[in-house]
Amino acid sequence: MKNDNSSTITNEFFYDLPPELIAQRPIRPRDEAHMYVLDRVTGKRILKQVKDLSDFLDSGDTVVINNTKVVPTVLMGKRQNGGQITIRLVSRKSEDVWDCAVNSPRIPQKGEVLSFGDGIIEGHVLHENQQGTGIFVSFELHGTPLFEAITKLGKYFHPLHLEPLKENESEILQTVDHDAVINISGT
Amino acid sequence: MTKTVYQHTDHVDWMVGADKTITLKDAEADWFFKLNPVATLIWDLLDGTSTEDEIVNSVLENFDIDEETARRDVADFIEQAVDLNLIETEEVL
Repeated sequence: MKNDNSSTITNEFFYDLPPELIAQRPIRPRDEAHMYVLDRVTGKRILKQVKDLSDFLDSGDTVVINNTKVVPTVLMGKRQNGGQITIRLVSRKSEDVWDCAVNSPRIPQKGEVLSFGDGIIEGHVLHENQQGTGIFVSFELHGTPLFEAITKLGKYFHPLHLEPLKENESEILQTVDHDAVINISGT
Repeated sequence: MTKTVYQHTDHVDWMVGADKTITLKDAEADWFFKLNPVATLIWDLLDGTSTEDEIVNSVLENFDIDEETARRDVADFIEQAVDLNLIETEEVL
């Protein structure tokens, strides 16, 4: 069932955020980023920096590291009638099917074929998603694996309130360890 | 015979809000434009397929508005968007 109260629910997330408090770029060096440390006994929070992490670790502790990688999931292409369309791959549902957000109030209809990269990727619209926020699209490739094609054709999603990415600046979107092979044991 | 259509330039970005209206951002000038429902429809139709007359017809179909007002609104919007380099014209068959 579609959620008819979406505006009410989203209103609960509206709040003032002064522009000067929005970090436009990660701090350099990256390990000077702020880090809150919570004392689980007293509940007290201490503001530290990531480079201080080792001060809080003991032998035998487990460190969980985020090594996920941001991929360029914004695809700009054509509708079946030739009109411009931009979609964003939000969630993978099966091998070649993704739940996609559409940057248009005119949601493509079931059966419509979208074309990206002059036909390198074809997207077949399956149906609207359950929440009414986007569409399920089955992608068909012509000679290139989907992930490779997305990496080649896609753009990085970048929220409007952030300064546009400059050329070759996409690295700032990645976590520090996105490509790392990490082997931590004991400490 | 060709017809004149309009399409978005590559330095403008936008998002569709929960209220289904569009907020535009001119990435070069760092300006934001919050569009009302009529302007949202006009913007969405400036996708390289519709002529000015076709956009006017869509506005008339979707809003309780007289033709003179619709023509003026569409023409004003297109003129401003071209001036701001948010859209560009294209001649197509």
